Amino acid sequence: MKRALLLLAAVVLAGCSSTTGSAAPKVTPAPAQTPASVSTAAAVQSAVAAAASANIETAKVTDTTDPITVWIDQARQPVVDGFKKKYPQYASLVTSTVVDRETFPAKDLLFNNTGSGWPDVVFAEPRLVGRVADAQHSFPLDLSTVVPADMLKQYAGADNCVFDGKVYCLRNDLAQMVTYYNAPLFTQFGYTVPKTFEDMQALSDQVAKDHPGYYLGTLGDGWTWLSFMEASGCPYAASKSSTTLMVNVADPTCTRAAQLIDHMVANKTLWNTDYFTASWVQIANNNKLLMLIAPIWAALGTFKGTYYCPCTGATTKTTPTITDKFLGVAAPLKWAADATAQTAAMGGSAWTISKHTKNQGLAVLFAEYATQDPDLWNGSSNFASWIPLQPVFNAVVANDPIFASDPSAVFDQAGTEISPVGDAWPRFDLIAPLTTVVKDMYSKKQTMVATLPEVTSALTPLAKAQGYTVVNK
Amino acid sequence: MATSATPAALPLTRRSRLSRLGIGWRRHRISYLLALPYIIFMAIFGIGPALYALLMSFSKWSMGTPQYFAAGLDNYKLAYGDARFFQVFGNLLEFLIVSVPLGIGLVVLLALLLDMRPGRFSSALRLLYFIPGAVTGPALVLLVICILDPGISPFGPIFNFLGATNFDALVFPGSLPFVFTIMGFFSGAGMWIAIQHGGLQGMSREVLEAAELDGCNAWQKALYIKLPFMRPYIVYQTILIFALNVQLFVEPQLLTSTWVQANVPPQWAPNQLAYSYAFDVGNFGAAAALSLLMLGIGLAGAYVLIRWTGFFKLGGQS
Repeated sequence: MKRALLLLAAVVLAGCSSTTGSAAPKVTPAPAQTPASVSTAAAVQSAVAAAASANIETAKVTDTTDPITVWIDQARQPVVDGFKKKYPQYASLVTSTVVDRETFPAKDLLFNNTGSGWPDVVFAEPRLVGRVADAQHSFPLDLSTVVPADMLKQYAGADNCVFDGKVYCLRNDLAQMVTYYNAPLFTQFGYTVPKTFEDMQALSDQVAKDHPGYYLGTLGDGWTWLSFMEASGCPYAASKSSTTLMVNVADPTCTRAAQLIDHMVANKTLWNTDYFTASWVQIANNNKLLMLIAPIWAALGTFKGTYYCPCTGATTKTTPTITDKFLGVAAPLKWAADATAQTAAMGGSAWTISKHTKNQGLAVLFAEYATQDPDLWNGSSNFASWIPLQPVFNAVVANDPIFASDPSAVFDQAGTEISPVGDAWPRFDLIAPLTTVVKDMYSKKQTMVATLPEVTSALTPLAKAQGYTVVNK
Repeated sequence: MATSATPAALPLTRRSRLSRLGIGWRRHRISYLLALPYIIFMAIFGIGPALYALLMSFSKWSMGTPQYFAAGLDNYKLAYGDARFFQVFGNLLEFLIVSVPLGIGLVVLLALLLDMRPGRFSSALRLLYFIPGAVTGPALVLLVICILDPGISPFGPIFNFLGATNFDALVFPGSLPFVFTIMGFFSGAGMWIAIQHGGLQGMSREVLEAAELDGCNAWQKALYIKLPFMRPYIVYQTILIFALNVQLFVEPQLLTSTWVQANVPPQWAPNQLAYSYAFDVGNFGAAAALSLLMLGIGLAGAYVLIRWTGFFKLGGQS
């Protein structure tokens, strides 16, 4: 019922506005796969061949003919189709259902009550897997018993699938944030791309003075908020153990990020919405977007086709076109005082398998296929977690005419810098309460520094309801 | 003497009570029969679930299966001690204070106005009032979202002129009781106007004529003749609107969804807190404890109103 309502919401909103209608990527941060362009075909082919040379699937499908149900989102339909094509002998055993995966923990509880109905394989972010891993939900199968250890090692970011020493999912893709910039504008204005947040603040003053109306980023929801906070290492929701959560927004790392936000809100170089609102897309379409901290999939999923046209939004003669080599990609910014950069992640999903499945072999084979098959991943806009596949993505982006220069080295590096809070979430949704905090700051016309205590009051009851002990130090 | 008299009297009393019951049963048999379908459904969908909730509220949930009576009062302590508990009930109180009097006042006013000048125009208007009722809750929420977003609203220029340039400027925690009142009014008012107006149609024309002969003008007639006549209907509406509004859920839930991301706390109404306990946390016990409180509030509200107004007595007399 709730899903039906949400779908209805999406349909009606899409009909009446692009402001909210384009919000769909918020819950499906891994966008649909796009075909590789012709010019990159050769490079991609060789990368695909290289990835395919390693024989990947190892799962043993036993003689059982029990069917499996796979929960996916719309964008994952090609995975199911591809699996059925590659393994026609199992095609009749695989049923897929498109679900709103935010409801996965709730539905799992209902299945627990009735003792049946669980899906066998679910596409969901590690943060959602964490929510079904506790004693009440008790959903996932420990994959360390069924997937060889040397295979598990080849998944980048696999740590976020490990809960209390058990491997509860196979990573699908990583969604590390990087620094995107508008290369022609930077050249035209004579700016250098910042390497630190201090540089960014200095640049914001310069932009405010010389080129008012241009933007270096946006802050309007939970995701954009944590793009600043996690890069600073702010322990706003740091899991100390499965029962202790640290919510410490008084930490200097939080204050410095909040001060930067306040500075850039005040000098009007930071816009006040999330990535997908009509007003922000308009700024990008008008070529007033100088710089943006955003996840890796935004390059081919959002800049291409939403910010840079041909696109669905209104175009002007200044709108960057997707073949103009507009998009520069720089490493995640670091704070001067920090030794290394940290970066947030928005999305970056995984496949988890039910401990109730009657056909374990087939379920595991499906998850391995979904995360490892080179033909499936050829042309994907997502950055694969399966390390042998990463050259495929790199070959795609290296030759894509949207990029000012080859971004693959930056993407690879950023993949290793995802912050510990990153996608190791506590067992409750952080985005909705953080969005409320950000919106409250704007509606009360306060500073972020003054609003930070609200993070504690918003997150603490949620954590306590989940059985966490909340500590502030 | 006394001891011997008592046994003699007892069978008599019993017999007479029994026979009274028997007569009552025979006389009212058909009424009980007519009420039976309702009673069955109320047992299955009302009383049964309430008793089950009572059982669950003392149960502990781990490994997915309930252990009855294992929790003691822990679920109550957890739910009623939650930092959000007073917030959500505070929110609800604000909403009720705004929505109940405003909703009922406007409905009564419109019904009286419709009745002042009966004719084709007023029947057309009555139909017009009824139309928004065809839009159900969730769709209505989306409609209101579209109307309150200055970027897409037909009233956008007015909002912009008043300084509200985005959705968040119109929908924020302080404005929510009014936003939900608007939503509730447009979904329910049409039906209530039809009911109240229908009630007025059944009024004795002689009384009205008598009032006119005594020199009543239209307003006096509405205030002194029609309004007292409508009283039981108004009480009835109050009970139902109160019970409905206490159960507020869909509107705030949709506004906080990832699709809309309005500036609304994730748990704004008590029902959302119960829902969150059940389906975010997996603690059905705490959710049941909150649900029972909601049930108690609804029942107490209805009881107070019925006792205070003598609603059923009035209904019996007329």
